Amino acid sequence: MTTSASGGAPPVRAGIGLRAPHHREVLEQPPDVGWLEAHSENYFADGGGALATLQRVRERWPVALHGVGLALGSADALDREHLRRLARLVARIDPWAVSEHVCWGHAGGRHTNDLLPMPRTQESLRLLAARVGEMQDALGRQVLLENVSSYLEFENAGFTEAGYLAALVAESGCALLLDVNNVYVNACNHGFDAEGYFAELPVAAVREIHLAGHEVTRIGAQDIRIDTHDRTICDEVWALYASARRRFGRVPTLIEWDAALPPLGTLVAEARRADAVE
Amino acid sequence: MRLSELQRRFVAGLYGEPTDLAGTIRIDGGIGADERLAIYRGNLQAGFEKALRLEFPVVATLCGAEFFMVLSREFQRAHPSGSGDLHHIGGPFPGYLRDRFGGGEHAYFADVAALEWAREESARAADSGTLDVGVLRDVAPDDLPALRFALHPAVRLVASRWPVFTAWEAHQGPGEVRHVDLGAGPEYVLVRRAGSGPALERLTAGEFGFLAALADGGTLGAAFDAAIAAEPGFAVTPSLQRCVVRGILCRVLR
Repeated sequence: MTTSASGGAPPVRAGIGLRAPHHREVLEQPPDVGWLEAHSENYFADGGGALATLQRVRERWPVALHGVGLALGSADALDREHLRRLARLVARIDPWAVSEHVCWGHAGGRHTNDLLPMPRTQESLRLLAARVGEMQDALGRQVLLENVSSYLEFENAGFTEAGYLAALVAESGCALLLDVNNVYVNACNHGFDAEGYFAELPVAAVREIHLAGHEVTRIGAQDIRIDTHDRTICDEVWALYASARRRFGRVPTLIEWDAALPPLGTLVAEARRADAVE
Repeated sequence: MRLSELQRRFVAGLYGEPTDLAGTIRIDGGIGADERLAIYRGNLQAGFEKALRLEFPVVATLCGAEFFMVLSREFQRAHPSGSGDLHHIGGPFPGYLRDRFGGGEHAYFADVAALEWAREESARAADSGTLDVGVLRDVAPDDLPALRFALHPAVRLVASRWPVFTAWEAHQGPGEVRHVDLGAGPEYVLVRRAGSGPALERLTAGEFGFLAALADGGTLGAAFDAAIAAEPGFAVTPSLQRCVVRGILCRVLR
């Protein structure tokens, strides 16, 4: 696997997710942010307006391509057509980073279009590492893999969640996209220590950080945190972000917001707040 | 249990089918395995419905929120997502609605869906240059009827025995269902690229026949014949000019 120089240097100031309702405003009144991240699948089209917008955005800012659909940890075959479209988009956009998730998503030809948690076994690690290798080979570059929020864990786990990420890095040569909100959500949902999670990760592998809002819902007598990306980042996640910065350095940070999308200014304000964290 | 078997059972569970996941999901605290699985099942249904509503906003308005949710779940069971890219789920939806509603009062929903899907496809189609009108001026008049054209990749043609364009146009933007006279007769619609996005316009029966014949690879002569059959007064020269001006033709096929 070769790592090709591409997309320019990683951005220093925080970025925001590029979402369709903001397309026009982003072009006409460019927000003062360091970079933008696009969901790869939203720009898989052969042509048309969305792709044209992303190409214009790329003329002004560094862009990262964040995939949500490869479902690398699915035991069924990897979708070659999906990978081919991603490679075409990477060639068109020249992103500074390409990322996907540590997850699976389909079986027997039925897709869930969700980021389902991996059973943390040797078998799944071997499969996931091989798939990450296929992705890196197809794109000719190192990719970043992101930890996901989860609402259940499978029995017979042979790794902690962070230990599984570290093993994936060692086995596949990928880098990591650390979603601090997802660490916090899982720490609460599954009862582990977030700082201990950070300590298990290989520092040099963490190349990007995601921040987002989540909701707390109640099932019976117990709270469970759901990763909704529909609100501001909570204070506990900001505190954890400060801790992540101390451990992993000033890696490029992104504000993710997908549902109940606020005015662009709200996202910019969250990015500013991230920039101000020492 | 092997990973492939666990994933197969898990997906069956998410799709609401009987499945055996005993002993596979860790139970801690007060939340049981079924309740945890239900969170993912809810995400699966809500995510699919949201994507379907984005692709078919007018059908969603015509159905109303509650009925559209029911339809979305039925459709999802019959046509589960087959791709990691959710943009593909809508392809079978017009056909599903056609079968679902038969010839009843909602039968026109299928054609509205076909129009909305044509618009989706057009929006995502390849970019292309368009025909230089000078090319046509250089062709000897006797050779014109034998010409064939490549249409712009973003061109889609939709015909309906209902006033499907009127129904679509009446439901742009959020709001309640507006009255549309379904007895007003057939409508023909051109979907094309205007600027970087899709534009819809009503065609006459003759214009539709003309473009449909060209889209099928027919010659200009055959397209004229088709147009005249549908609309006796059809005039070919202004129609061809409109095609060129609107960027519908890309190039002459040799």
